[in-house]
Amino acid sequence: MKSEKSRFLDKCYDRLYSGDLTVFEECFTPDYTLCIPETQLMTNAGYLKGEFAAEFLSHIIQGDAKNFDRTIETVREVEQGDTVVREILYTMKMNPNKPGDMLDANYPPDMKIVIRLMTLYQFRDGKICEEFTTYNLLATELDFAQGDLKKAVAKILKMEPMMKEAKAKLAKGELPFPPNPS
Amino acid sequence: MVSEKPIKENSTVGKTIVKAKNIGSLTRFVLDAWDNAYNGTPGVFQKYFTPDFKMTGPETKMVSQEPDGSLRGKPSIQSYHDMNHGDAQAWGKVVSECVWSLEADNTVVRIMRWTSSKPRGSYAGLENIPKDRVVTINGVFIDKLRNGKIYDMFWAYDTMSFLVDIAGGDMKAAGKALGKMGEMMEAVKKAQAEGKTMPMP
Repeated sequence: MKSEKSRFLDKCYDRLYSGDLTVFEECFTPDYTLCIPETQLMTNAGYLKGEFAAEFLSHIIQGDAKNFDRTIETVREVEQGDTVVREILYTMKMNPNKPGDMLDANYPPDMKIVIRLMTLYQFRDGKICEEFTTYNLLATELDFAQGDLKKAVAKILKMEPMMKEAKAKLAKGELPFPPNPS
Repeated sequence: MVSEKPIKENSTVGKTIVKAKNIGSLTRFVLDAWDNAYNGTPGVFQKYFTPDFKMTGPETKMVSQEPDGSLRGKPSIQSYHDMNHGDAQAWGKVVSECVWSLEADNTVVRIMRWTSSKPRGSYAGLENIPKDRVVTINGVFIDKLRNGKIYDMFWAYDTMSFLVDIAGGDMKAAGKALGKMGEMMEAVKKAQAEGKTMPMP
């Protein structure tokens, strides 16, 4: 039986991930803080704030959905007071009708990547005020490269200019990725 | 399993600083277990862990022979000890803090923060790291307990951000360093397959 907060999280994030940004005012505090590996890599502060942060997250998730069949499954959840901790399996599966990852189209057709995420959600006055998510981005790149470290390194080096550009855009208050990259 | 080099005086690995508020007895037990594992205290495995103990994290995934990327049983604790000592010896100071924790249903969730400073020169394939570099990791740990002992531990942190931070924000340098680490990781994996342990690179 899911708790009230758990159902609230499902509802809010389903809407955010589908690109419905009207959810922000309804479900998130204005000073919402997002700290995920991507914000750590792409900002000096390590996190983003407010509606801009929510939009950034929405774009990333929509980008994955455009490129892969994606499922998000909460496998464990612990709740105490205003904090909910979730262990999430984030699965990306190749789909012949989708273009695949932007930086490498040579993935095996049956490739499936499972990322184990740990996420902490903090609530204030019934709204989400903070999200801290961590996962091993490097291991994910290694999985994408089918365990071939040299291939993973080559992709990381290829990503470098894109990351630099993303960081510069975020510093100027611009979102680096379109919601549906082609 | 006694450490070859003593913990440096101003470091706190092996004697974690608790910053989390109102921690419970399970969290205290878990922190004691891992501090003792770090310190190589004799009998630590029997005292704190079940015989079928399993641990899974970024480092184990790189060297594990198991499909789920875990290490198991007593050798996993030896590996934890070895890999952490390898890390600690590359830095002049490592501060270990438990900054947040939560307990429910025989599960302890904690956020641990490690701040490494005073690098000794090279680490994780990166050479000549500036002496004033300070890097911080925030990792989330889940310890699950059965009959008063830990039977499963999973931890997550982003090794990519960590590597890029050590490289002073230079992703290209971090990528090249990762390439250098490949051979070292293969050697660790081979040792694991032969039932031996060796310090992580």
